[in-house]
Amino acid sequence: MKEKRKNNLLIYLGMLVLAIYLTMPIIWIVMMSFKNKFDVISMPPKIFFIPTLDNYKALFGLGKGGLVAGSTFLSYFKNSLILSVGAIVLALFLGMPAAYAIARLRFKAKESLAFTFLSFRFVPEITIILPLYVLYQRLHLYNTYIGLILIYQLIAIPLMVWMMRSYFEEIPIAIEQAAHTDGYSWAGSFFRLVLPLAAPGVAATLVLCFIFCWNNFIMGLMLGGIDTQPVTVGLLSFMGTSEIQWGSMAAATVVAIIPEVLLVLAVQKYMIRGLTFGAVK
Amino acid sequence: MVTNALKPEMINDPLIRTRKDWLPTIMTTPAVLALIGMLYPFAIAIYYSFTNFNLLKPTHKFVGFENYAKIFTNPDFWEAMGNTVLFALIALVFEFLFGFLITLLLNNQVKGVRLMRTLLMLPLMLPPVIAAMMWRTLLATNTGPINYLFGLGDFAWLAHPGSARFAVMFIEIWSSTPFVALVLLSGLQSLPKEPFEAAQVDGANFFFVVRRLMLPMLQPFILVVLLFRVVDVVKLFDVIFTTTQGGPMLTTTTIPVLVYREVFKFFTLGSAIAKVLMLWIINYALSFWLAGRWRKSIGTM
Repeated sequence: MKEKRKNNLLIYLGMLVLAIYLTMPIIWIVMMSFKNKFDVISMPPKIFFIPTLDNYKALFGLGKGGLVAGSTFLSYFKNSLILSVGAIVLALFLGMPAAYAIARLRFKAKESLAFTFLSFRFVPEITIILPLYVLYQRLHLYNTYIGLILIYQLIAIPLMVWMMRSYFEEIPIAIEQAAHTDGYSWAGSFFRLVLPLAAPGVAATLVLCFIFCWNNFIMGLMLGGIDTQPVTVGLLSFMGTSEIQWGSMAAATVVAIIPEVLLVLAVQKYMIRGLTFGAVK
Repeated sequence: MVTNALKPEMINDPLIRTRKDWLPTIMTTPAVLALIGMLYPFAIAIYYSFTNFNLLKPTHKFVGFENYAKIFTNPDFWEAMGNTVLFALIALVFEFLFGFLITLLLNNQVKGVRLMRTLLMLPLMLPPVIAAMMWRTLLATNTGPINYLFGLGDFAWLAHPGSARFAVMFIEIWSSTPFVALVLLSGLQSLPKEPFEAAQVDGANFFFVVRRLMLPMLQPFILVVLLFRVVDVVKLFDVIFTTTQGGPMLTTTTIPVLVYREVFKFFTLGSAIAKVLMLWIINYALSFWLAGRWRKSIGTM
């Protein structure tokens, strides 16, 4: 009994260390975002301070923070929303029928098709981006939402196909066979039976897809301009100047990750399945 | 009139056999078109790698294998390749080690384990750029809490080769270890309980259980982790771009960073693409091999 208690103590100690290690950087940035410009650079670093909302006000263009990047932050944020939502909507139309076909229908080249989709997950993005840098300028797709949404499919489609496939495969096939015997059409059984049953999985797929798109950096960096770049690229402008604006940078970071933290909490049950493309359930 | 009614022999078929042969074609066409859309730039990339394409010059000409031949005598390429391989190895070893330790820790039935799982998702879901910015802030020379905490004065982490490499690796390991831990944890909890109970009854010690039972049984999950981690760490770009930009000198430059710099500083797109294609070959071979082993380890699907 004593042995077990000692063991539990060690486990809790380990968990405490782990919790600090995982959350410390995030907590520190959140604290920084509420510090005024003197507290933020004070040495020794202040743990207790009088919080201020100045950084957030400056970020949203309220009050005068003397910011370079502040007024543009909101437009980066808007770009991220447009790009991520646009990318998942397009990927849904392109990827979902394929996911269903691969899960249910019998046809030649099925597995090789599926693995071709998966292999795009493993391509170094820069291989595809560099030729597009030239091509997009010729086609006037450089620095456009459409151009970026198209290249975001490189991230979105493989995930969409593989994750949704794993959900469609879990729905008992007898349901569909029964429906077909009852005279349902293919489309009818898909929309009225399969889709409602797979809805939680489909929703989780969309959310994960959104997160992946939101996190992307290199595509916006190389194929977007100031009008279309996402917030991940925009944040770097806080670091680029000779004098780093710690406070506003911290506030911008916090705002940029809020949508994600909320979404992650909402779909945490499905997270591992998504990250491994349905390989681990 | 063709009806939708299925023939009796199809009822027990695990997959739907369709009389309508056009159905799979129609359903997969949009995605296949998208694939072709992605293969097209890839094909141009291969073509450009055989030309002297320069972003500042209006014309380019075919130069055969010149770009590839030059790679072999280019010391920058080999240094970047060395870094890429070194970083991948270090990251994998530590992510695996820490990830497995976390798995063992959280495999216990105690309160708070669920909360820890949620916490594990946070670093995992931060954009790598933001994770890197956070750590850059914590490691800041004059204002960072880490220098204060460890009494390092005004040590500039990103200015020295050794510490810059350490910082880049640390950030990568910090953000990806949770992935390893969560996959292994799901794996461990999906394993049958009987062998472990039997081992306990026989009084097998902990290390024996880990080495002879846990690790072999986790093999498919370990392969999935390897598959996803290897290919990602080989194309490591965001973290480096946000922190060291490849410096000091080339000590933290990986192939993607080298290629980015070449294109936007020297505009020699042709030779830059040749370099990144070398990386792609490695990545493709590794992922193909690992995916094959993984499929074998789970049997026929």
